[in-house]
Amino acid sequence: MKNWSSDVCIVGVGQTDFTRGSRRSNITLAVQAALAACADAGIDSSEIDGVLPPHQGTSACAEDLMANLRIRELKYSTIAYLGGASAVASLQSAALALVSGLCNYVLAVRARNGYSERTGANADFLIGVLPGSQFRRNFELPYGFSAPVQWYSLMAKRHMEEFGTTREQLGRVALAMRKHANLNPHAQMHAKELTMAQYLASRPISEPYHLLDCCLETDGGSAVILTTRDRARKLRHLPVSLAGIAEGHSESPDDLVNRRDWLSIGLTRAAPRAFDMAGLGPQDMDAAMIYDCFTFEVIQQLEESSFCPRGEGGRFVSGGNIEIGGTLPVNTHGGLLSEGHLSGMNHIVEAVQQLRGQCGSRQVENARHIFVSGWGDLGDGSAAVLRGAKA
Amino acid sequence: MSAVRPLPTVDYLDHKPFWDATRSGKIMVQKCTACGAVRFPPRPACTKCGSLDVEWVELDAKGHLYSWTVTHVAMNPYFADAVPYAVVVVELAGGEGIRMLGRLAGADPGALHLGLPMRAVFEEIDERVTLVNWKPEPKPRP
Repeated sequence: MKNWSSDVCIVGVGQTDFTRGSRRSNITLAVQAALAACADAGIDSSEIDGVLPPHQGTSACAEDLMANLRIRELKYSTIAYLGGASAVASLQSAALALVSGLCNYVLAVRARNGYSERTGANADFLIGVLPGSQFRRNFELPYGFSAPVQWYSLMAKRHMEEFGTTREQLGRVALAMRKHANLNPHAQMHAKELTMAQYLASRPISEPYHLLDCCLETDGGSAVILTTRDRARKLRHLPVSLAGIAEGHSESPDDLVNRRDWLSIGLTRAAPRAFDMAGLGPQDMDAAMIYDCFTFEVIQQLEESSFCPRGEGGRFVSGGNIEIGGTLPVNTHGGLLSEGHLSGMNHIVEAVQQLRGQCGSRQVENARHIFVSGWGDLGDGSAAVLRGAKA
Repeated sequence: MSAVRPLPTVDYLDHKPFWDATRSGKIMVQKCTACGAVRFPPRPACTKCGSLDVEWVELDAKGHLYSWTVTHVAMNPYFADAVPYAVVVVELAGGEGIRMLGRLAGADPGALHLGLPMRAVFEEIDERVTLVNWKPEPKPRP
C-alpha cells in the first residue's frame, strides 16, 4: 500500500471540558473545541478551508462552523458515516483533501451533548441513521433489540462462550481505563477510583454487559487541525504525522446477525492496510488508543488488529499489559469508558499529546508511534498510525 | 403501558413474503434462482453471485442457539414492563448458516448454552403481524 498520507500532519488539538450538563448548544461546543485547536496550532480560524463536521445529525454542520469560525472560503466538507469509526475515518478524508492540494487547513471536530440529550440509546434516533435501517426496524426492534449495548453484548457473549473470556477479564479493561483517568485531570472520572468488586457488582444492562462495561455519556467538544508538512514546519508544535490511515467494512455490513464470522469487523481489514502504509506492525506501536464503547470491544479490536491472536485478548488485557508502563498502554486518557465519549476524537487528541510528550504523569516514555482505532455502527472500523516528530 | 408497540412494516416490498409466511406458521427465505444460494435478511440481490432473480423457499422452523443477551433496561419504552428478557440468535437447520433473532419463549435464560437445539414459536400479534420467537427443543423422551 502506497504511503500517501505521511506528509499530512496534525498540528492543533483542542477540547472543551467534558461534563454531565454543558448548558451549551452542540454548535457552541464545536466552535469552542475548534477555536482551542486553532490556538494550539497557532492559526486563525479564518484560515480553515476544509471542515469535517460531526456525524450525528443533531450536532453542528459545516455551515454552522463556517459562519461561527469566520471561514472565508470553505472548499471541502464531508461526513464519514461510520458511526463511532467516523472520527478516525475523517482523518482519511482530511488527508485526501490536503494531499490533493484542495485544502490548506482542515478541521475535524466532534461535539455532542451525549449526556443532556441522551442520544446514545435512543432507538428511534439510532435506527434512522443506521446502515440497514429496514432490517433494524423489521427484524430487530419488534423483539426489543435496538441499542448498541445489545448488538455488541451478543458478540461479547459468543466470544466468552467460545474462548472462555471472563467477566473479570472485561473488568480488567474497565479498571485500566479508570486507572488512566485517575491520572488525567480532564477526565470525567478523574476523581473516582474503581475496584474489581465495584465493577463486578454494577447493575446489568444487557448481559453480559453491566453498567461499568459501558462508555460514559458526555457533553463536550473535541477537535483537531490538519495541514501539510511544509505548512506544519512553521507552526507552534512539532508535527504529528499520519503514517498510515484506513477505513474498513466487514462482510454483511448491513446485518450483524447474519455475518458469517462475528469477530471479523471493519478493523480486521483496515488495520493491516494502515500498518502497511506506515511500514510498521503492531509490535512497533508504543501505545494504542482503542475505541472503547464497551469493554469487550477493546479485547476484540486488540485481537483483530493483531496485537494478540484471536481468542487471546482476555488474557492479553489481564497482566497489566494495557496499563501505562505495560507492553502496550491502551487509552492513556481513560478512553470513552472513563475520560468521556467524544466519539473517539478524544483518542486522536490523546495520541497527539502523547507523541508531543505533553501528558505529564500519564506520559508514555519515548512514545514515537501510536495506533488509533475507530469502531462504529455494526462494526465498521477505521485505523490510523500516528508518528511523532522524534520517530 | 401507553407506549406504542414497535411492529414490523409487513408490506415493505423486499420483506413482504417473509411476513406473509409467518402468519401461516412458516419460515420462508429467498433463494437465488441463478446460483441456488439462500439468504436472509431479504435483499434485492444475491450476496454470492449478484443475481436479482429470486424465489422464496420454506426452511424448517428449527436450528441451534448461536448467541444471546439478557436485557435488563428497556431501550424502547414499550418494553419497560417486559424486562428482564432474553434475545436469542438462532442458526437455522438447513439454512446454509442463515440466522434469525427473536425473543426467548418459555425458558429460563440460565439454561441456555451455545448449540442448544431451538424451535420457532409463532406469536400472532394481530391479523397482519406474526412475530417469530424461539424456545429450546423439548428433550426427546428416553
